[in-house]
Amino acid sequence: MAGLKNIFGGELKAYTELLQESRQEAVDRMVEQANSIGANAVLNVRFSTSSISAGAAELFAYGTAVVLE
Amino acid sequence: MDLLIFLTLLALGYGIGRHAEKKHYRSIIQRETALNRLPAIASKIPPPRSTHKPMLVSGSVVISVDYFKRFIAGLRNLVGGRVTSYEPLLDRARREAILRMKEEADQAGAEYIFNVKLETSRIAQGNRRNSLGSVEVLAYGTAFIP
Repeated sequence: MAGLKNIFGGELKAYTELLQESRQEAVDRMVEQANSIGANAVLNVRFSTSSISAGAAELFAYGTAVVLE
Repeated sequence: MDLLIFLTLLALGYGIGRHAEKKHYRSIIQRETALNRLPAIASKIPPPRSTHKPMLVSGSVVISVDYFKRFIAGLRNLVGGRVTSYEPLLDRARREAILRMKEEADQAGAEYIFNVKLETSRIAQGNRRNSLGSVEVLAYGTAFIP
């Protein structure tokens, strides 16, 4: 499918979904970590993506965990 | 025979790619006009003392370049200069990502989006090392819900 799209161009829906899911997973892990240290909010969240190798990518989310009163 | 396949791919890429791009642009412009009421602001400084509820919103899209454009970009690599065939690709991806972010915010009933950031990454693909397979653009920010 992605091979065909490489000829015609256009959106790769499967990839979009895959990356969205992975990003959600990264956010969940970040929130879990913030929770475990007793924070109740994460400020200034940033996302980043790096290509590890062909067919693999790393997605990460990071931010500042704080306790809001 | 190889040349024939190459020319067919080139023609298919040109025809279908161009059609898809036009269609996509029409949809982008139409949705942008509809979502103009929801401003996305890049400023980092939060609005002073608002009672709005903040929420992280994001939108992303992966777009692939067609065969014809990749070929043209390959030629461009020989002589240097602006790679105009890739420019619409990135423009479309950015605008689409912002639109999806805005749509998410709109569904949550947000009034505006603050601290919008854009991120572009290359999805490794394609047989040649230097060829750009597809790009992913992610737009994210803080939506303020009244």
